[in-house]
Amino acid sequence: MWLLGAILDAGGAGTLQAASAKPTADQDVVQRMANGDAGALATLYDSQIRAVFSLAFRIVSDEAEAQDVVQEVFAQAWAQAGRYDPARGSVSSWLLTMTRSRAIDRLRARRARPESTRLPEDLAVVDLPDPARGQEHAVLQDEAANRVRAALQELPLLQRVAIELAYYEGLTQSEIAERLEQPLGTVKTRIRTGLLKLREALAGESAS
Amino acid sequence: MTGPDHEKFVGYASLYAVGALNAPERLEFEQHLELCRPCVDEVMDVLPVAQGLAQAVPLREPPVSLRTRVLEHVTGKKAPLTETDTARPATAGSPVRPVSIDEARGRREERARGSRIGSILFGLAAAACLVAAAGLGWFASDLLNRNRALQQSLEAEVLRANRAALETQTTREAVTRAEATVAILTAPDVVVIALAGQPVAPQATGRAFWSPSRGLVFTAANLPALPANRVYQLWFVTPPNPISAGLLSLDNQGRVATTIPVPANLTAPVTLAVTIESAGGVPAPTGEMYLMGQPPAPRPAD
Repeated sequence: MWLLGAILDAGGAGTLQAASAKPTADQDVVQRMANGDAGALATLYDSQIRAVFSLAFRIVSDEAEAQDVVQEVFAQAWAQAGRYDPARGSVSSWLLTMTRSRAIDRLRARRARPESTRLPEDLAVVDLPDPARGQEHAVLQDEAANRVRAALQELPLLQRVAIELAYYEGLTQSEIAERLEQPLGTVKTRIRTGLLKLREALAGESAS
Repeated sequence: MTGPDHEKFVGYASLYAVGALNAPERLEFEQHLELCRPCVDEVMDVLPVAQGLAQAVPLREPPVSLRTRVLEHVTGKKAPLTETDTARPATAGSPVRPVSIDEARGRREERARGSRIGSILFGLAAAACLVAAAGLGWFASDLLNRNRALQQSLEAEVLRANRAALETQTTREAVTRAEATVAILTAPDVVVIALAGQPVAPQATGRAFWSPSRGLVFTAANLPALPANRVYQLWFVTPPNPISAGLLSLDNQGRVATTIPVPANLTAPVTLAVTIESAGGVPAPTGEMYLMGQPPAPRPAD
């Protein structure tokens, strides 16, 4: 804990300043949405659509369904803008939480249908960042994503699979245990150890 | 201080953060969180990491037509032009603008205010926080803000380390293989085939994870050491003739774990078998069978 404090103090205002720019603008946009400003919704769409669509597609593996999820998420954001509370998290977290939830609902509904062996249209499972990409927005996007992605790749395979089954496939601990043919306690431990390792990996990088 | 029945909830914080609790479990845990400081601490620790998973997905560009569809559907009005249309070159996505010192200071003050008044746990009902009163809210907010700031300061470092790692071709290939394996194991349509040791090697076991959409991962353990000039060969047992799925390379403990290409004409999982054959493999199985397993019958919908 002392270490964290020291790092933060040393980090100084520069990093905080960079972090605070966007949320302020986003929060203002959500406030305008709550007042019925359609232009504000367009602004929110333009700043968040790639993250929302990418997550929706990652979960449902289907272009048309991912588009439906996007529509539901922005409809929900429009309807609930007045209830958004900045103290609970960033606008981006708010939207991505809704996105995961809507997308997982669809995945579960699909699993419940027997004739649902529709294949994902896109089997590109590998998305290595291209170091040559220099556009500003692309770098920012990759920075946020790579932070977790890089640490995920360091995890033992089954820890990572258990976490991905939970977060991206919406399986509960019992369903994961069944899928991986592991005892419930083992699944619990794998997910916990995996997440704590992700956190430590991130903290360790900064300390060095 | 831990809440009552704390032992029961060990590990729940992480399950909660990644959404792996079912509805009754989640409710029960949220009630426990009202009373258990260590569990709140743990949720605060892992929640930002779990939320980072939302951004750690492959980037996928949405179709341009989606914007008009969504905006018009949601607001019932004609969609306004994009910023891209009016002000900037074609780089849709997160617009970035410089921030002034005043703005940054305002933001920090705003955040400090927000921390004092709000609960920060997603999904934790406001009523649930009343028990713990203002002290907990402040404590938790403080931790989360520290985590956030810490992550921000890490970005440059991690990006640099990550890029350096990706520069070597071998790393790229290893990552690609791991990605492919994970994609198969997590596929919604994956079927698990258990292969049983046959009379010549009853202790041997195998597992195949077969996703018709993504591929096949094959693992086996306790296979006996091979005599010279012999190999284990895996087969898709299809009528009338089995198709070779390739040769297996064992580690020194008789284990194998590998990704196997599936022939295009096999649209559903079939029985798998492992036989022992002459070095180099054979076009049709001739040797003794060591492992065999059939796909399970299709499960009824739940």
